Amino acid sequence: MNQLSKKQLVARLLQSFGKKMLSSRPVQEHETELVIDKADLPEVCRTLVQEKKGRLFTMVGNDERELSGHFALYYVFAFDQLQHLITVKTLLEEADPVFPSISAQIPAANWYEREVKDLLGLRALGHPDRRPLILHGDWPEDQYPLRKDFSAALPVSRQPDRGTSMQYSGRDVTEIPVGPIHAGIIEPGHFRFGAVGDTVLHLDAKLFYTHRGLEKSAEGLPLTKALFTAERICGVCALSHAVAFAQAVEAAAQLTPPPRALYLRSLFLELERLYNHIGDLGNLCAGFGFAVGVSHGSRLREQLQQLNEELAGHRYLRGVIQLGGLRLDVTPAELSRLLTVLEQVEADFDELMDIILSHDIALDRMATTGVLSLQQANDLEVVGVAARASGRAVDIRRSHPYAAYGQLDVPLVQYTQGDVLARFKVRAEEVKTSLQIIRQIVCQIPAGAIWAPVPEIQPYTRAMGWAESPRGEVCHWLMVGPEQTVFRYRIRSAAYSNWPAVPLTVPGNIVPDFPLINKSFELCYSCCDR
Amino acid sequence: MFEILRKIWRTGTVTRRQPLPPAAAKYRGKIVIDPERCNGCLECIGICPSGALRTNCIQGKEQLVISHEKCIFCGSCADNCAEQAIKLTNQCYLATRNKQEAQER
Repeated sequence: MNQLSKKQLVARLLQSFGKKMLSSRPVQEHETELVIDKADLPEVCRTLVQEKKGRLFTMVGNDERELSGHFALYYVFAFDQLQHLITVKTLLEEADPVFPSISAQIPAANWYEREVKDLLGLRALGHPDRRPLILHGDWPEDQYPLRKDFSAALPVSRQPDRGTSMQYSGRDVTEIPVGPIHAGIIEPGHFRFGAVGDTVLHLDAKLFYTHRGLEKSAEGLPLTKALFTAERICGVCALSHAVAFAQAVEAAAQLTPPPRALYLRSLFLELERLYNHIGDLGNLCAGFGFAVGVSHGSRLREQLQQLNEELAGHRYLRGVIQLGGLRLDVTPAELSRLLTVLEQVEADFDELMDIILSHDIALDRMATTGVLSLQQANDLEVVGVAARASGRAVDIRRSHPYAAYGQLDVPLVQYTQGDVLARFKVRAEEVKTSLQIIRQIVCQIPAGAIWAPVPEIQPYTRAMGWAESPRGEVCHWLMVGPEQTVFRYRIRSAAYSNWPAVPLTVPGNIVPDFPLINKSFELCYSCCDR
Repeated sequence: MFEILRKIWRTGTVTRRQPLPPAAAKYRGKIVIDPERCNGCLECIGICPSGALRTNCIQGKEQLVISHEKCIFCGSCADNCAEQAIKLTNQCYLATRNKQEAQER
């Protein structure tokens, strides 16, 4: 598609809004911003999603009172066919910080709208669920942490819990509360099952126990230091988040890192996917008590993490990324060592898949368990492995290529059943495609510099960066402040998009299947909670 | 059954006994400061993202010290030290029974 026809297509996309558009401007090469009145928000968003087939990529609330005297909302829609993003911006008066809700028509907006209420005090009128999301019931209702006049240093006095969990009633419904502290090494989340006998009728998940206020603490940090915050959003997707943040900064500075740096980023991203996917496939076996699979998976994962340590100096690939490129290079000897290790891992991995997928009990437990329908996946804008297992073709490496993915052949792995087995198989095949991609990278990697200096960024420039983490796409929205600091940083991780889908897949299954379903999504809590 | 036994025989022991071999050469481990080379420009203190570096008066002399508890092993200080007074080593066994040891260099 050449540039001209893309421009025309984008223009055609927007022409139906006519008078509703107060202004429009191209922000980056891949993004158009239009400003509308808040009253037109539901109609414009509905047209973009339902008629123009865009998907809600992220939504950001921003306190811009010191810039323009308003709060601002940015709804970002991704158009995968066009490789384009459309941002719908609307301004809210400080005296009247309300806006019409779009959640009833676009269910994916549910969490975003509740989040801007909790953190910025911007209220979505007509939202079907008015419970707090992030700050739980013991946080005072008039304290909004992401407003610029809220100081993170001051203690906030808590109030008695308002009780925000679902209450089940009825004679035959048993309420089973689980968590937030769990047995085993998993993060905190409170799950409340309404069960009839052994069968789950409804599941209510309460998350955000690990909300650390990273977005607030990043504000005012120099960009170079905020990179370390980005690396610590998630334990196991550290690299994806670092890459997404670095790309956001580079987009703001209109800088393209040298080609070798882009290839190396892709290489490390695939290594991250490999160790995660193989570890997750092994861990999934714990859902049906198959210890051989768990041990075999962790052994392979350990081998890959030691490889990470050899190549990058860190088992979880932290400290690899630098704004403008990479911090370390890889020698040809290391690349050939990489190929040798991957060959061993692949042989062992094939054997592990053979063991699990020829195990009758494993298949019996995984097939038809925890089905996520395509309709549900589309409505909630599910991403990553879970989306591709339900027949939703979303892979941001293909639709909006970043790093070196534009030059690489990235096959799409897709299943349609949407059950645990489909998610298992998507992961297993993605391990194979990751290995393919790594081999392509090793063949094609150009020589040259691995870093370019980042030019000065104009204050209040905003930009986005994204990456396909092992759990799905992550999107970092960044507005740069004066003197190369962070003004507003919004992290939308894959877990944030996928968590609302998990409770939908559980009803109808038996209670002991929940750990298995949960493991098949393998979502992170801390990068959802931030 | 026979297959599993054969497998166990073939794979052998995967776990390893301590002392374990040193970490990979590239591993970013314990940071070591050479007080002889340090010229006291203190640029590293501004660069450190976790605030692990500070100055302390040792034997009547201002010296740079590092808290290994706070250090995130990013190596920014070592990269930016003009005198190469700060070095990253691949020492990864930093567990200690005494908190004080982790505090100061």
